[in-house]
Amino acid sequence: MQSLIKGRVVRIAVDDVNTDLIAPSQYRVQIVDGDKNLTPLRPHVMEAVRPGLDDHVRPGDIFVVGKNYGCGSHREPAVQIFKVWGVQAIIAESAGRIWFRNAIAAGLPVFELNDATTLFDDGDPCEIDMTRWTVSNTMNGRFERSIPAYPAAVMRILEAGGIMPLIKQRLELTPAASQPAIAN
Amino acid sequence: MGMTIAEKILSRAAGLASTKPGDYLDCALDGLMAQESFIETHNAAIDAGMPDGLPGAWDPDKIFMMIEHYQPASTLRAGLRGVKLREFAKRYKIKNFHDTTCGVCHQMMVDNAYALPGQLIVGTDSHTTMYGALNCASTGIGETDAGYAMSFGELWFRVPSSVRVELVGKAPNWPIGKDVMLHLGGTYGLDFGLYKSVEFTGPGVESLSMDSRFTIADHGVEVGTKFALFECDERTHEYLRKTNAKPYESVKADRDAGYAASYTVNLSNLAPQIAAPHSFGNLKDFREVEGIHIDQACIGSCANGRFEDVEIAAKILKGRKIKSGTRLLVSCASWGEYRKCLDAKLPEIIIDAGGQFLDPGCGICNYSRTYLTPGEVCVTATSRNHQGRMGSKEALIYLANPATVAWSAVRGEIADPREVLCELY
Repeated sequence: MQSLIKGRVVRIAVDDVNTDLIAPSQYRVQIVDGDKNLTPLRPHVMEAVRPGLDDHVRPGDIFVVGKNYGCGSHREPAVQIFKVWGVQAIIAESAGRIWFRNAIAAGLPVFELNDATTLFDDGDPCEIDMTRWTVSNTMNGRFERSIPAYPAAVMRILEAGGIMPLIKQRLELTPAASQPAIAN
Repeated sequence: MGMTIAEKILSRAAGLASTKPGDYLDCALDGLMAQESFIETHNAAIDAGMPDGLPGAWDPDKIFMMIEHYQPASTLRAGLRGVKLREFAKRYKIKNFHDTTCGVCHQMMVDNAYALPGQLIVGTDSHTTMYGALNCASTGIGETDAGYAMSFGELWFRVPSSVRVELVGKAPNWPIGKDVMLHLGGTYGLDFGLYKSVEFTGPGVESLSMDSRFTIADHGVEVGTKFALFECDERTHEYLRKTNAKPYESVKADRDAGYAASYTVNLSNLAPQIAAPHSFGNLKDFREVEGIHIDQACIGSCANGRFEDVEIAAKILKGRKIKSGTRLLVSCASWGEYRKCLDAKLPEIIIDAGGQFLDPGCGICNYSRTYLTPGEVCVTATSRNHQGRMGSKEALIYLANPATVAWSAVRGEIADPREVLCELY
């Protein structure tokens, strides 16, 4: 993955946005298994928080969200939708534990910055530097903040492009005799 | 410095003598619970270039598969997911497979003693924290991480800091687990346990039934926790004996273990709590919500679908009728719990009062058995009151303990259960 991420901010300055709000069940369960575009869900993502996101979001955007974002259920469409939209990264004041894990597993970088929603307005240009580990609002060079570097365990997943490619890599490196297999 | 329960279990699973909060570990798992969403794992593996899906299971005996989330099927999608999970169970030679008649996955994990003290278990559902009541470090993951767990029996973990919730006083004669967690979430915020392991300890624990402990651990995720853990006591060992558990090694925290914070809850004087729409932490005083008409009342799920939850409802409903214009739905968390209720003749009391005694399953807590139309109001002892959780996003869901739900169903409006509990006890 690239170490410098630049994009336009989509700001959701609401705390505790749970996965029922991100991916409402009544639309989520209409997704046909194998539909990678999450077609029935897309127009309804976060509609009770901010209607019309599907029309607003553009590939390359960076979301800036409030505290405890993604709390609640484990459902992965609440992460996958950002991949479908082409969102590059998410900066959260804090993130629900499973949602954070699912984002990393999907190869979607999520960064925590505890006052993020006060530092950006909707539409501001944002830069995330994963070499210097900084986040900046480049509108008039307003500010730069440090973020914690990812540990090796997380970088390994992001560099592979997510958990599934990492599984494939590990299987390829594992001698056939030690591979997980279906017993006879 | 000594170690907390989470630090001990994670360091054991990582093959280390000790560990501390903030460490990143590769841990060996003791189990993986997968429900019919495993089709998403399979499809993601195909997309990643594994044409037949994951090539195998690291240890088929440590994988627990169940068709339970939207079952019995009422849509083509749910039906097809059942078909696929049966195929997967056969293909990967999963012995511990339960077809559509099982109930809620988490109750199955404890009914069948799949989750044991001292173990590290993950599952593809957020309420996997429930097995913490049995001293098992258990937590929810997504379908993608489940692929790694399935293939290698390992996952990365960040060692959480631990928080103590000291329970003092004595639990009353009615289920109080819901109130403990609503109180904590409402008082300290929905993120007070975020990324943390919360240990429930103190002299009040021994007065808590196992059913209430399961409610508490289950709701750990509502306040963000990675784990929600109890130590084992005589009640835990007795529970495990009854479920024919294999030998296990329970884990206690060291006396000098380090905790990031400590909270106290007095069980003796904890009043019934109620959370208003649309958040677990949106606590209200009963005086603010009493008298609000309710269209639906629900008791069940992994949060409140156990014997004691149905028993208190039956005690309140005995000889009474549910108010016309209100529907009461009760669903046990598993057939094991259902049978306990049958043996105590509880279903007929619910039915005589005009309630509906549904089959066990998750449907009481997702909208598949409880759909609310716009403007409808529900008071529920299930897991969540998030907007849209039971169908329409214009519906209003109040979350409360099962006594509140049963008494409110009789009154047809939100009502303080102390009016009737003081008669019963």
